[in-house]
Order: sequence, then C-alpha cells, then structure tokens
Amino acid sequence: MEELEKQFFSKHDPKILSILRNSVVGIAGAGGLGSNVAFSLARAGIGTLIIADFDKIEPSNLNRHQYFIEQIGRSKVEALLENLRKINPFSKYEIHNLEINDDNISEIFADAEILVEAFDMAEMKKMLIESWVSQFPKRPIIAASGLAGFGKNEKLHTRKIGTLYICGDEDTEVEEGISPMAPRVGIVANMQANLVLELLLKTESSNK
Amino acid sequence: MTIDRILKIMNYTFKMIVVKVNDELVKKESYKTKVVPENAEVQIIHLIAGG
Repeated sequence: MEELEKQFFSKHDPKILSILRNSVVGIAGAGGLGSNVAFSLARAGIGTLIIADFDKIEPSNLNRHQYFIEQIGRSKVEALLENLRKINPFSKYEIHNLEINDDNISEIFADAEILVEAFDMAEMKKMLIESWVSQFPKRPIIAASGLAGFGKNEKLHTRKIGTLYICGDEDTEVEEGISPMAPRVGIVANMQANLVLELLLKTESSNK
Repeated sequence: MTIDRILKIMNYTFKMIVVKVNDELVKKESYKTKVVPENAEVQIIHLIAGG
C-alpha cells in the first residue's frame, strides 16, 4: 500500500478495513440516494462499487445529488466516477451508463454481494426488488421508500423482510408540495450505506 | 385464498407493492394463482416514489 493510501485508512480498524476493501457493492441509481450512498461507501473504503444510471445531471438535481455546478449536463455516472476518484482513488469503480431492467440486472451486478436500490420511480423499485430477489435470493437488497420533505427524523427507520431491507419512513412520497430535500435524502442514503457496512461486517464475523 | 383476494379484502389499492409470503417473494403475475397457506406470514410492502 502506498503511503497516502495507508494514511487515508489509518483511522480504520485493520480487521474491518480488510473486509471492506475486499467487498463488492452494487448501487442501482446515481441520483439523490445513489450519489450519497456512493460518497459514503467510497470514504468507508469499500473495495469495488458497481454503479448504474442512464440519466444526465440537471440544475434541480443539485439540491440533493452529490454533483457540482460545472458538471450540469453530463452523464451522472461519469461525473460520479470523477467525484469518487477525487475522494478515494484507492477503490475500484465500475460505471454503467444505461437503464437497468430485468434482463441486464444479473449481468451488471453479477459480482455484487449486496445491492442498494437508489431509484426514484416506484415502478422501478418494484422491478429491481422482484428481479434481484428472484435471481439472487440469498443476497441482500437494501431499498429506500419514503424520504421526501424535511424534519420528522423519528419516522425514518429500517425494516427487514428476509433479504429485503427498506430504509425510509414508508410514507412520505415525492409529489406536488413535498419535494426531496438534501438532509432527509442524505439521512436515508446513509442509513442504506450504514446497513451495507453492518451486513458486510456481520457476515464476516459470523463466519469465524 | 389467493394473494389477489387478500389484497381485495384488505382494500389494498396501492399499485406499487412487493408481496412476500413466508419470506418468499411473490411476483405480480402470480397474485391470482398463488394460494396463501393457512397461518402463513404475508408481508405487503408499499413502495413510495422518491430517491
């Protein structure tokens, strides 16, 4: 490990670090949730992130997505790759500039031990969950449901249903009058990222 | 009783849902045919847009 890399990870517990550095996590969506999840998991030292999104950055995204003014108009995954490399250049980032569907999900996320669902449309969330659980029934999928607006921290929770985890308040929908805002979106994204760490580290410790 | 009937009885009008019976995921195509065993644990997760 080169010197800067050693210093970057110097605050990590070495046993925990080696597990995270060898992990592969998939993130479906690079928007409000996905970009925030990616930032946290990159800082946490996850070895490989596989990220897919077909969208481009618009000005209104910046109220919650982890992109910058000069990146407006660019592909989300390309801009995210650039940002992640500036944060943690020691991990591997595999980006896919396309729309995820039932047919390509198993190919794109073949190596992912855990999948984070970071879509905005309810139909896409449903498709992803059903696809993942039927094709990879033993691998966890961490979805988000209900994260719009502001305040009401106490309503945000994580629910486990077999290998499916749901983070959010399972209530507040993005609609007219209730917009997605940075703090609440960030909290739910970080609940997802935090749960990724918990699952990766719990598995390892229960294998000992 | 099929999933479809359970949804009707419980007045579940949400369109975007994921259904698990005894921890096993049941896809939409099977809602009318999958029969829920007695004492089974049925979880209906409503998916909310946003993210």
